[in-house]
Amino acid sequence: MRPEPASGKNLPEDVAEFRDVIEVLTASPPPPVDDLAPRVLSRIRRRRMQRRVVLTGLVACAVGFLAWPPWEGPDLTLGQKARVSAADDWQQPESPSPSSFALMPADPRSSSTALRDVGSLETSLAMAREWLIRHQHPDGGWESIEGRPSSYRVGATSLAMLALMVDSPDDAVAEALRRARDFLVSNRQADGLFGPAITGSAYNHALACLALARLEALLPSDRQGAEALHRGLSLLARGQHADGGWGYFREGAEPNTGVTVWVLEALLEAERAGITGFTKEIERGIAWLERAISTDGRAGYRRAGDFPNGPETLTAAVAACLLKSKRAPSPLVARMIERVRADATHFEVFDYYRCFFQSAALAAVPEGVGDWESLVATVQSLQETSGDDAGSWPPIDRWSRAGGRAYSTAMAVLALRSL
Amino acid sequence: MAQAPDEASREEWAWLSRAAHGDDEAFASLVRRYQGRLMNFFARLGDQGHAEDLVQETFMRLYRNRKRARPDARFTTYLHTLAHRVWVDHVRRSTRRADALARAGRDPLLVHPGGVPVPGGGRIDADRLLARLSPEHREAIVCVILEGLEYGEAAVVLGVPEGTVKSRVHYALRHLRQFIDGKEPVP
Repeated sequence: MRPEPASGKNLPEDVAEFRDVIEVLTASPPPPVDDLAPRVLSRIRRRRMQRRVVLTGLVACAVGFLAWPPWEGPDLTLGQKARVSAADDWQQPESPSPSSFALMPADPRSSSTALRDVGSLETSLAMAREWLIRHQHPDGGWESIEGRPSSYRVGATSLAMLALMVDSPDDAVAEALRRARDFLVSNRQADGLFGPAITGSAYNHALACLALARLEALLPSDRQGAEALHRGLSLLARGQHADGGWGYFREGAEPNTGVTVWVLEALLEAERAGITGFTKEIERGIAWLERAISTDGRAGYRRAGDFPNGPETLTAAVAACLLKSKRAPSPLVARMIERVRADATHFEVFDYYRCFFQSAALAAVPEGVGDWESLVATVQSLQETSGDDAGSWPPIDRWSRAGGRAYSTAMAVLALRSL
Repeated sequence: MAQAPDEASREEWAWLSRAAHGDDEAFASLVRRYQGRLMNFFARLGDQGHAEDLVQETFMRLYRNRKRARPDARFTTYLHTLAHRVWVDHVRRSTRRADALARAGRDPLLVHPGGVPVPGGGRIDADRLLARLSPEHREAIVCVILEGLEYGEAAVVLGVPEGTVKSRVHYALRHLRQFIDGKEPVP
């Protein structure tokens, strides 16, 4: 149907005097358009498939709830039961996907605004998923910097894997994840270290362990992947300092908050996947983090009050980690959340890394909903929507120099899903 | 006042109803009938570069609302209301993006809708004319003059009183007349 400009018989009477202006306005031909129906229908069908997967997860949740109601086990939450269930059967993947948990009432993402915007958020995530799959290399990894050798391919690959795991995987995503797992397994040192032995190994290694641990709960276990993960986790445990923190993998390096948070994320994810044996390390690590927090709720880098790059990212990272661990005293976390809320709405320089942690912290507490929505909208707004980079996020922050577009895209996706 | 559904509109509502019962081809018919018109809508509002994405997003919203939509107005009014909301969200997103990019040291004009310089020489065309208008006046002109909506329908689409639409159209046209007559300097 062609447009029906008002220049003809249906021109409003009160503007007839402007007929000449209207003629200019309506003289330009409309822009050409391809048939969009196949593309729209394809999106609709993909969305239908995703809904089926989420509904299946919810049904599984409901069945689990009925089979094991909370009043029969007051010491366990539903999430803990899911973890116990996964621990009982190593081969059995944990049934509810992150996306199905997102619909649970305790999650602020189920607020009215989040539901109202869920369509465009899903579109963003679908586009990101397609970009990530399109840019996976034949060896299963992702480039941190396209066209240049980089020491952080393992880290970029692990982050891309985490981004692909924010929703239940379809066949294409599952295949990409299997290939990425093979890439990580084949990129190890003799002692089990993922990636090259460099100063920044701690990040590569902790991220690889985190990605493989999450994969354990999502796809059927793979013997080589499980073995690599266990060796990797043991290496992390051995690298813990006497005071409970973790630092760069080099002689004389002090523990720091950045590395400690990522190692704890990996150990907590392993615990969630039912891998036992690291409780003591987790608790000592949490205690180290708590000591790095000032009374005003800000987290330091090597100790409380130490802010070589500012306190915002560290505070958000520690808050998110403590909330995830469910082991921290609530007054302390409440003070940190106040800080995170203020930092999330007043920032000087955009930073995916900080946004990721802020999003995770804000999404975990009811009072953070409004700031979380605003933060997520900002991150979402940066997504490329046309050209070869459509679906990705531009590598514009200070860490993108090391991680490239795979890093910025993965961090943005994780920020959108608050994981 | 919104117009009652005419014959074409009744057919379109019927297609949407069939889509609500799983008939994808009926939905494809709606897409094919309105895709060109919506492309024009978004392009004239000021972002031809993203028009195709915005058209797709509008149809995705229509699909999500297929069971809730009530045929108590012309279908085109309903669809344009959705399209206008998609546009408002797009502008909001683009503003946030521009803000975030500016904070990251990038030039926000590169991504802001309407911020991309319009090519062309001295010839006056619709885009150059529309670029002279404020966003509110431009929306009113696009709805009433280019899309052919009644004032009442445009009021529903834009979420403002009918009288406001009338005055915006009138002042916008008067402003453009002054521009064409050379009473206002070319930028």
